[in-house]
Amino acid sequence: MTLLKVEALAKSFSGVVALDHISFTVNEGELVGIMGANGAGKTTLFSIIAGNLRPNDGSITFDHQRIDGLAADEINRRGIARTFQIVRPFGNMTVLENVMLGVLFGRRRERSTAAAESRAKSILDRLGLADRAGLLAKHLTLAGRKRLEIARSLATEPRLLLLDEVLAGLTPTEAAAATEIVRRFQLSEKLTILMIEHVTRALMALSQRIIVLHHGQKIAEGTPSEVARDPRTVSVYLGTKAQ
Amino acid sequence: MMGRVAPVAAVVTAVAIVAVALPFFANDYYVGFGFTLLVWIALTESWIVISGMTGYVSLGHVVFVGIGAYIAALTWSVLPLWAMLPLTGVSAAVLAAIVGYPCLRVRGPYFVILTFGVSELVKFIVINVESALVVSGRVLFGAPDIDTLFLIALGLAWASVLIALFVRQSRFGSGLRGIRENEEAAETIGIPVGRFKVAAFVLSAIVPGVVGALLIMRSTYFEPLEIFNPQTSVLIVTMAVIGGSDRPFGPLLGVVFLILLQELLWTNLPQLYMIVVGALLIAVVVWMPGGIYGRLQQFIPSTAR
Repeated sequence: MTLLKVEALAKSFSGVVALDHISFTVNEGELVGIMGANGAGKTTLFSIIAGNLRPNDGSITFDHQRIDGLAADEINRRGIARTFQIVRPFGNMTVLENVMLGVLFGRRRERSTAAAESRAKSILDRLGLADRAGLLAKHLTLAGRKRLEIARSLATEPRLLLLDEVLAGLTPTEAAAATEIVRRFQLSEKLTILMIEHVTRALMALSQRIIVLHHGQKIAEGTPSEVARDPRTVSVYLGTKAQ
Repeated sequence: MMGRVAPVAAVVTAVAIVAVALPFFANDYYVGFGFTLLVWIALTESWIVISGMTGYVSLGHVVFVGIGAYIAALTWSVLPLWAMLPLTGVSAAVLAAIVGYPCLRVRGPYFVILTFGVSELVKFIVINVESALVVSGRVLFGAPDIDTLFLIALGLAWASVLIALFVRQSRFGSGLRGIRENEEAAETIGIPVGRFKVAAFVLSAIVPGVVGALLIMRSTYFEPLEIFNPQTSVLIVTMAVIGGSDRPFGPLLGVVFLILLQELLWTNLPQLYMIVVGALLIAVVVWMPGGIYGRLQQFIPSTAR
């Protein structure tokens, strides 16, 4: 079943084209990777799907309903959560409070504080943050803040999770641990994931399908091995062969 | 984040009940002093619902005092007190809703300037309406005595402290803190930021509206330049910041401190008062960002989070 359908999505910033009529679909339960060099339009794409930015053209359908143009909070309540590439924790709140906010609002809109707290604790547990629950979020390490970013978005109980470079800046060990967390959640929560990643190896290992963006256009799409062999991908990443 | 608020509310209520006795024992000077104190508590505790909790600093809160006072002046001797007072609160709430939608779209210094501008705008609208009606200042005959006004002010101060306490501990208050910490992240986890900000602004305007009615009943006349004086807005911010705007009881300390200072300076050096207030504000922002309350907390570790 198609969960997300993006059609002819376009966005430009004062004349500079960030997205040039992109179309693709994501099926329920799938993990789709998005690759592309800096400035390819990956984060812009996420911001538009999540409602932080408005598209100039095109449409987004989520669970058979148009969502383009809706406010970000409304889109989140319908079941789309995102993380930010540059992490945005609620710095002066504890790690637990950060995650509780996701449970209190989001798709679940939990009214009971006690229930929100126990739900938040179980999420922290699964993300390996339980021992830092009482710490102010601004005192976490970068790896910790990246996990918190994932925890807080999972707390909103999304059906579709947009992960924006959650592995960037982590050591290989930390990245492997984060990758494992993502994989476990995708399986256990029947979560659909759209993931931007520069760490190509992790993306290849995790994704069922990969979309390659270049200068705001979709230049390739397919299974990881198909994409890796695609001449357009190779030319973007490695350059064309010298004559 | 979700401490138990009921015992604190019970203590506040107990203190308020004890204070009811004051007019029956003290002379008019002390009752008047208590009235002033309670009025400022009501104003600053209301202000922190928007500015302390969301970080949107309103420098125009006097506009709600002014509009409440104006409604009170217009309906004076037309409506009975029990109908007029709620009406002043409602008018302030309506004004906050109208002003809030456009103003709360901008953050930081833009919001500060905008609220200041709006309060001046409303002031001059009222002045012009009054001069078109060929009215210059309205005198209120038969206003209640200071003892009655004290009791109403006590009720307002009590209500404003309780509102601040309960909002802070509620789901709504948690959402407001998320907005203060990072608005875009707050929105992205489903907090209805637009609605919450306007709701907090409206909630912070109601009590100041009623305070406006009280102030003109105390002075027995309505004069727009005086009741819309921007100095009131500045003092609200100063009291909250000096006391510590991040905690429900911070503003209480700031109010007591500044009102005592005012009593001291007013008799001897009235011109110096605002200069001293300005200097204090700068000093607190630079050296004591948590205010008096924040500084006290450092000495009582158990209260710090």
